[in-house]
Amino acid sequence: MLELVSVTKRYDIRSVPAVFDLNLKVDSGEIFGFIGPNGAGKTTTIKMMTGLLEPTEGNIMICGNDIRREPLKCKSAFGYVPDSPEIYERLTGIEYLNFIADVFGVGSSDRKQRIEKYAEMFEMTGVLGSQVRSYSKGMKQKLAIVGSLIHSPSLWILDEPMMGLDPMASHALKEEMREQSGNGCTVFFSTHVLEVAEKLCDRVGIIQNGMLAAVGTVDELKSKASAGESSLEDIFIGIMHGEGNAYV
Amino acid sequence: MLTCKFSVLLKFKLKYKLNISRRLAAPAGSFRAAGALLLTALLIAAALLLCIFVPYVILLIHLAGTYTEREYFSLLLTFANAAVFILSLLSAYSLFSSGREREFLIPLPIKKRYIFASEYVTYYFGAVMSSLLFTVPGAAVYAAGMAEKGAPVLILKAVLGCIIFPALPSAAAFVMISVVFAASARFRHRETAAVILGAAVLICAVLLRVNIGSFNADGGPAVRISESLSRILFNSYFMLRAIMIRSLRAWLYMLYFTLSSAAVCAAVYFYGGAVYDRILGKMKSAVSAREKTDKDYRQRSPARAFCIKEFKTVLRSPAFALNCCIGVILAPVLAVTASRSGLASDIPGIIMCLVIMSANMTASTSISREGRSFGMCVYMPVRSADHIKGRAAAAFVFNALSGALFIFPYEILIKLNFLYIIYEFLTVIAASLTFACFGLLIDLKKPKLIWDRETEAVKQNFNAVLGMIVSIMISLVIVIPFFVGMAGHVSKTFMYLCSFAEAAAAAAVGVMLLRNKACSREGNSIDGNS
Repeated sequence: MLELVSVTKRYDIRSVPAVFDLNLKVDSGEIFGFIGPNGAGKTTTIKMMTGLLEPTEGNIMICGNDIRREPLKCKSAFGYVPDSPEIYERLTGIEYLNFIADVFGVGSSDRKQRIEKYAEMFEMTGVLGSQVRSYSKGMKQKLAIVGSLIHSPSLWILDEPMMGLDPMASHALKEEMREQSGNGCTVFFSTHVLEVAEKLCDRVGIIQNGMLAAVGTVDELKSKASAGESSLEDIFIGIMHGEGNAYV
Repeated sequence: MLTCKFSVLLKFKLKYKLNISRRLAAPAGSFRAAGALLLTALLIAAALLLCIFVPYVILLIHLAGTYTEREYFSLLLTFANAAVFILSLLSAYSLFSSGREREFLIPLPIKKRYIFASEYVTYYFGAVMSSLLFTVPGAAVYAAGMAEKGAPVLILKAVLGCIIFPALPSAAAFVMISVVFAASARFRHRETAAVILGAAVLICAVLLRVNIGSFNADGGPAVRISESLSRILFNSYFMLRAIMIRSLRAWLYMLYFTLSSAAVCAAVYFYGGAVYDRILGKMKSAVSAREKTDKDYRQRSPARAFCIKEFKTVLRSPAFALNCCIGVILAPVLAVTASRSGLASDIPGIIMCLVIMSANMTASTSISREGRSFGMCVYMPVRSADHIKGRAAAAFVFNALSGALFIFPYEILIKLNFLYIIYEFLTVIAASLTFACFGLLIDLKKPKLIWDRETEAVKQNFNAVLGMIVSIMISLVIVIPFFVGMAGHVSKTFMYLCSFAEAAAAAAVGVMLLRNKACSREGNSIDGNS
């Protein structure tokens, strides 16, 4: 479903790469958690996956298509929730969702059904008639989440999706991730909340200084870990302290 | 300590307004980029000189030769008063319609009145600039023709006077716009009300300006009204005397002038700040109003979806609506006033119409208006051709609407042959498409995506100015047959047909270039401009 082959990103030719030689494969129906400290390269990687940034080297394949060669096919396949959703502020919530549905070519009945379903799930029904600029940060986030699901994507990419969400919405999002995964959709998300990653993800990848320091199921990582590292948090801190080689 | 804080704030505001730091930083380290910037600046200066300054100076020379010194300066000051007032209306409107940066300034340990003061100073600075632009060339033209030695002193007095001169018109504009926003705050749809009332005030101001006399009027009433106004408005009264009196007494008038202007500025500073805060507070609360959900789930094509989004975005934002659709707002007013002013016999309607259409900046700010949301166009599966088509269609509609709103009332009022009206309308349609295509091409090249206030995307956007100049240049090419027709014996039908053919050819070139651009951008990332 999603494959990154030797992906490197340099913002400046002489600078240290933001992402270096990243290789990763995520299968259909899998929930993959992408973890790393601030500035590790998570958002850069996600932006390359979504076509917002171009990799300096390497290829990114989505549903067997290269994002650079077949951008439209790839973009039709995924739904994306950015870390800070910049949504057209002068549109109302419903206008925004209709706009997204038009761009993805979603039919009237499908969009109606999905908008109603997700708006109810995220408690947005009452506010869809208001302009986006009147929304709080959390509401904008919820609107972006609903918008990313409107075309029923086969790959769901979320960058720090829990940020700004209230506990109810956060719970609804986790449930939806599980449901999407059960329906065969691949879920790829970055997070700082290690407990969420530990409970929710089939596999996790830990990125440090632009390089993949560890990848696997939480149990696999635990089995590779040194004695006393019993949680994902322990493993993460261990890697940050220079024990990364043990996990690759 | 506090004064220091105020100067820091003021420096920040002026820098922010003029965008100096970013403009200087852009070409750093690249001689090629700096050269390109310099070349563009020179081209723009040349275009401005050719399109606006040269005709203005020619008009001034004509007036200086026709009227007495008193009449000439009365006319000049009336014109400057009206120009500063109208431009200040737009600036005051921007000041009230954007208040986002206050959100991070208010929690800082700065006195609230300093925030307003710094905003007022930048607002006043803009008014001084327009005052200098309209008045100093007038004084220079007059001084050049003076036999006596007082020319440099006259210029000095004009320059000094121009710094004080805008106090009255800018204060009047501020009061008027604060009334507009205070009234809008009473409506449920406050921002829509502000757009409509703001447009109405602008229309009234332009009507007033046209009716109190223009430079094109043949002496008589225009001069009489200007002379009366120069006796009523204190800025015209003192400046007229300061300029005309050749003795030391002139400086006494200059002193009165300075003191009275300072009093007006102080009044605006002390009372305006409180009014400004209260109105902004009321306007902000409008945002939280919940509205009924529109249950429209119809499917549309991506291009149509983008076109509808453009309409909604432009019309719902006061800053966008007033700056992007200024042609649509003013076209019918100018049509009626121009048809009465006697211009009809001298200038064909299509020339005025194209100039009005050039003022629309819907196309040349289309991408910039997206701001940070533009990323969505990159990660969504939409072909560049589709979103560009949607944007071009919206810009075309605004342009064509302003053209039609001018051409039909104007030409019907001056009783032009119906066939010629149709020819002109066809030319307007072709020119609308041309302006839309070239405007978009300009904005696609380097859109201004990083902004915090909506006004920055339109008023402080270089692309908007460039788009306007390019449109005026294209207009000049389109109306060449009329200039040829004025000079020689060419059939009127031939003139209209040639003009239409030129506009159609320009539209074809614009569409072709835009299509090529759309194809070359397919799947582009936003490296470098985010």
